Amino acid sequence: MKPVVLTFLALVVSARAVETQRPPVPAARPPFTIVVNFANPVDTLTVAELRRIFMKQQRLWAHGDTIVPVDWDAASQMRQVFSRTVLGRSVREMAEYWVQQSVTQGLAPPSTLNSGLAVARFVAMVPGAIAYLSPDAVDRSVKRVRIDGLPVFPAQSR
Amino acid sequence: MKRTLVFLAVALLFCVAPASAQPNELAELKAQLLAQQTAIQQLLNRIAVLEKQQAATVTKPDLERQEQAQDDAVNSMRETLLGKVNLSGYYNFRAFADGSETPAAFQQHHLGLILGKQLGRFSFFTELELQNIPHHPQISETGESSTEMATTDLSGEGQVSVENAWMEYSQNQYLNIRVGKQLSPQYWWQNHYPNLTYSTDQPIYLRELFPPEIIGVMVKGSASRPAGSSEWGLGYNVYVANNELEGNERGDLTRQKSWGGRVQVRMPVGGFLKKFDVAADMYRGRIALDTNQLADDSVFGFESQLESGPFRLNAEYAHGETLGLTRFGYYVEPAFRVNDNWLTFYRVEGLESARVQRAEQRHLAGVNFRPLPQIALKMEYYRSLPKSRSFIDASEIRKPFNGVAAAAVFFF
Repeated sequence: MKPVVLTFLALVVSARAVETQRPPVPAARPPFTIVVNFANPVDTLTVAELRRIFMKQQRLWAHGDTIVPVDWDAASQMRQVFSRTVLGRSVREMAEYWVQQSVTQGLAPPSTLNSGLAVARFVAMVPGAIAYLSPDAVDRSVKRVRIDGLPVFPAQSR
Repeated sequence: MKRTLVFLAVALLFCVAPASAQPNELAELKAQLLAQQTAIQQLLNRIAVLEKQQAATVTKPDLERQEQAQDDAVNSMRETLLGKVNLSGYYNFRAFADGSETPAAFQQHHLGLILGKQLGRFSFFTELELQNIPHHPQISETGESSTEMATTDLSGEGQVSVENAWMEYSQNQYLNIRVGKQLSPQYWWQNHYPNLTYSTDQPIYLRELFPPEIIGVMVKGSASRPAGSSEWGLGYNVYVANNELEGNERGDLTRQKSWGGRVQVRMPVGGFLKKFDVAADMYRGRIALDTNQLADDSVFGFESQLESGPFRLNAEYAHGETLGLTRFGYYVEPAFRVNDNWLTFYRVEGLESARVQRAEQRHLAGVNFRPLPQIALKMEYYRSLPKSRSFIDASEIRKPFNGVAAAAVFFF
């Protein structure tokens, strides 16, 4: 009987040891971070406001500067995720939207860049600029903006 | 003797043991040598890889040049953004054949050039349009029709017109002021461009109710309220403009100007629902009759646009009255987006106007092929059903007829 008990206790102790050694699951985080120029006093936006900005339905910041949204290249994964998540449309549907805006309002779509470095540099240099970056690519040259209601995606467990 | 034998045995053992151990030692030595050779080869391979990487490694001057190139690109884009004029346009070629009095024809329906410019709070927009649309179905043989007659080229040589020329000041989301020649704020007039519509032709009631464009001052704005991840939206347009006098043959010398407005409600969206707008429109102005007399004209209407998943629905209704003569028109246009490239639609539309003595209902069904957002190839079948009404002379009632039409539209 005693060997059985001892064996059982040993199994329990070893299982607890394995469990404490398992790496923690990273917290969920949004797929992108919204950044603006440091001269921009805005700290928080709603998803609806962000949508209006990138669809150029709102052209001025509350403090008077012209809003300059910057998109990623249409083929980039970042652009596709942002378009679906915030704008509620695919990249193709947004292209159709911009055709409509061009003929009815004379508006051009946001300019596009194809690297996080270029996007960050542009936002850092243009006071009214706003863009989105991978959370890991945000550096101290730009200011993060909190977005209320932005859906997050669960991080992959290791 | 015995002792000697033992000594010999021991000596023999010492000799044999080393001899038997030698192959093992040799094997071990060989194995160690082989392992060392393998390790050396691996190190040599690693050195070769590192040498290659070193050759490809960017030096500090290279990094500085790359940084300068990125700065130049960003500066160039910023200057372009702040300074550029947005130039775009569209081209629309149409062909039709039907059983009406007008013969089949090719129509260079539209060549439009659009210029847009933003300078801070100011926006500028101009649209030039070339039309060559002989035998347009909205024009009767005698030329007696709506105000479109005087502005439509019947010679077939084409004409250029300025459809839009306005400037807008944007104070904020709630208040924007637009002055100049601009389209009426109704949905179809704002979106009547051939690359945006499904059919090759506009609804038959369109030019008979609200005026297509106004020259005056429009105040517009919108407000929104969060609703989950979407928002409620309320928009308004209010304008004062010159009266729309027939043929624009004389300027609006009247003191009383036309005025009108639009109120739009934008419903929250989510899931499959991408758009659901409803609006009410109204217009009051003066119109010149054939007798050179001015008469009050009033029009009101309702409209709605719905987009849910692959389904779309656009609908408008308008009712007008001049000197006791009423007129109304409508269209209901459901559409289904089969995939990114294909779309099917159906439209039922109607017009009854004592003013132009016309009563007609028309049915259209067609497909669009849009390989790119900038290209639309359209084909449709339509059936026109003239109606008899007390205000229409019996001799003027046309017979029903069928027709087909196709159009190629390019946006650039």
